[in-house]
Amino acid sequence: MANVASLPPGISSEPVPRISDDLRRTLKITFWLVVGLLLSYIYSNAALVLPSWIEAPDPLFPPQAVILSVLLLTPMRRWWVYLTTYYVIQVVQGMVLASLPPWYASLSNLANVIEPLVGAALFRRFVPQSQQFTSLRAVAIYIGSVTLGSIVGATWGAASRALAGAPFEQSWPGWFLGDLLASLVLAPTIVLWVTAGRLALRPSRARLLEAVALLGAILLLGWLVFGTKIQDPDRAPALLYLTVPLLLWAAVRFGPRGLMTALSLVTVLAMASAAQNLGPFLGASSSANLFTLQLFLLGIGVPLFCLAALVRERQLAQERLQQSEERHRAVVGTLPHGAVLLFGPDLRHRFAGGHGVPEIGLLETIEGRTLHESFPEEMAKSLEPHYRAALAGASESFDLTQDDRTYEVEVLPVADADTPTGMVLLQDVTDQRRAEVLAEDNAQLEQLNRAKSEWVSVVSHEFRTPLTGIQAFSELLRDEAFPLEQVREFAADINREAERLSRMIGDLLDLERMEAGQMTITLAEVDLNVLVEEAIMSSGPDTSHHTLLRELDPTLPVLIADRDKLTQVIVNLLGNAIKYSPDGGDVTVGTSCDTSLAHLWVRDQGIGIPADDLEAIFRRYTRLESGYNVSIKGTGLGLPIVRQIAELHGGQAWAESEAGVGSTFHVTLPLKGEAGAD
Amino acid sequence: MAKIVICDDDPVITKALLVCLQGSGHKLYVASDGLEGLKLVERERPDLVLTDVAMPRLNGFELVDAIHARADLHQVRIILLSASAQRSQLEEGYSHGVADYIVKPFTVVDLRRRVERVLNGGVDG
Repeated sequence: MANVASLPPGISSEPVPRISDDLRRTLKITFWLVVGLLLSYIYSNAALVLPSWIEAPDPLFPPQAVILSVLLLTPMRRWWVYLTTYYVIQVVQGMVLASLPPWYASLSNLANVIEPLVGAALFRRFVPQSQQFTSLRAVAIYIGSVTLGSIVGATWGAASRALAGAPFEQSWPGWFLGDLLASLVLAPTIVLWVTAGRLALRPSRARLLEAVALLGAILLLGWLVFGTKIQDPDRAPALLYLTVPLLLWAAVRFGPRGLMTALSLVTVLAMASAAQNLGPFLGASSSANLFTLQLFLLGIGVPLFCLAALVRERQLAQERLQQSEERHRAVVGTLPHGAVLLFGPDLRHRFAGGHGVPEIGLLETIEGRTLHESFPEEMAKSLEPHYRAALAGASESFDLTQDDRTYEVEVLPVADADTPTGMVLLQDVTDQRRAEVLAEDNAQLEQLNRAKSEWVSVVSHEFRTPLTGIQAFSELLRDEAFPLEQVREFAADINREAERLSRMIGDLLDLERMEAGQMTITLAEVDLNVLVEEAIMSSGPDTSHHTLLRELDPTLPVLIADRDKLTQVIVNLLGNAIKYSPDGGDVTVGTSCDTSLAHLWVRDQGIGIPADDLEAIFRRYTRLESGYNVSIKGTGLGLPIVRQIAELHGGQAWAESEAGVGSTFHVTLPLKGEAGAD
Repeated sequence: MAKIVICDDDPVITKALLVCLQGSGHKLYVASDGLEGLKLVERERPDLVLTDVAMPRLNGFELVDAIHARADLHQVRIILLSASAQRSQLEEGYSHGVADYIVKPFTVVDLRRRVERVLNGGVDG
């Protein structure tokens, strides 16, 4: 009831009952009740209207059928209206038309009210209004209810009659049978036709023809049996049983409604013929005939009613099943590119739905075929273990490729009461996967592009620095006069910067070649320690702010390596150490060895490198996120070159660092000349 | 005659700048990084600072901000020198409130002209 709180005060959350509609309905039904009663009186007193009719006792009591029908078609809370109306009309009719004493009319007609009330109430108690006559159970309950009702009514009625002088045991059977038959034959007919009318069903042409044929047959038989004067009056009543096949036809093909209609028709014909002095009833006394007819109707009607109910039940079940299946198919059919399959322990597909996957020939025709009959051979082979796993209770999801198409497959167990069942969901995801791969490739390309343009701007930035000196000094020399000494000085500056630029370009080209695997190395015997000293002295970087220390291992054996490349390594590492310790400090170069490797290292006391960047610095195109990012000069290629050279020789290069304390760069080289271009 | 502070960590460029401007009659001071440059500016109260962007310890932008933060240094005009001609850098430069932005490599003629213009009160950008 949480919703109630959100409504404005004073407004109920229940729908307001439409009083006027309900009232209108009740009045309408009351009207029909009255009409029905009047019609039945006219019928019962047909002799008053049609002189040719000899009055015959009714095998059934029509008003009973009318009121019972009304009760069966309406909600319980309105019954009091109809029962009251009925009672009043009956009493009035009894007193006026049949000249009954008021006390008798009032008393005996109470029976007529109690009886339908009992019957309908009992029936409604066990069967909802929507399900009347649609199952065997419902029909059985109905028969029981109206039988009980008739017993009660007959007892009361006969007792009233007894008070008026007629013997009890004489009145009771007639009353009982008459009311029972009205309830069993006529009432269902009325109810079934009224509800059919409400549903407004359209029968097919064939069905219509069949119904007409049946009707014709009944009328024909009726004319034959009831419409002629019978030769042998003793055997005549048995002719009634000729109608049984037709009644069976009605029951099986047209359900309870068909049966009841046919039965009512037969009854009417029988009564009409009796009233016309024709037919099989003429021989014996009228009460004997009546009895025969009534027992016939009861004996044949009740079982056929049950049969008809069974037939209807089965029909409804089939309809429901079909609807359910259609619904499921419709739902499954909305799967765009795939299929849903159900299979059993024999790997046979019990159900196949969806648009199918035409590329592998998977269509609704799969139903009934086994796994190996449905899929191409390799697919079936890959699917089989999954099928079996699903039957054992495992759910599996995977991709399957067939003829360049990729399918996403899910095989799951299905909870099924009787047999282990598996479900397969199959979807063609080729385009999706391709798009995913493309997207990934694109992302990678974009990343590469971005990195490349970043690097290009870094490099061009670096190139411009030596160019600045060259540009400025050459312009000055060209346009102004300087003393010769200064001219020489400026020329030297230009030269140096040109060389610097040249080196930068050379580094870049070297790295490109090394990375492309196009670099060759020239091997010779090399003493690493000597190389270190030479590198420091000859082309060493500006070490004026720093103290250069050496820790060279004198036992270091001779290496087989490329002299120039190793020199480049040392120079780069030294330059790096100085660059990353702008505040000065110690820069130590060391060598050592073990059994298989020579080890070179350079340590500085600079700003250090964050742990996350220790690998990144060996990659080109990277810019460190350190605070000094913008100010550290260089192409960013020094370290990548060092690593490339180390790896070319079969060795390694890496860095260790502590932020704010310093860094150590390591290079190892194999002692036994394992070098070779990659 | 004006006081100019030159700030650049590359000695060759510093030298080139000095030679370019030595005939102008202005008094020239040199610093080799941003921190030194800031100290120099505080001490000498120059009319113009000619500074590189990429420098250790305090880069060009940081130097500019430091100068602008000082109320007593508001009359100091700044020209940024940079090898980066990227639009974003240019915009960043101007957004820091500098008088001019020169891209390396520069021509001597262009350098002198811009220096004079800034010193004479013209502001570019």
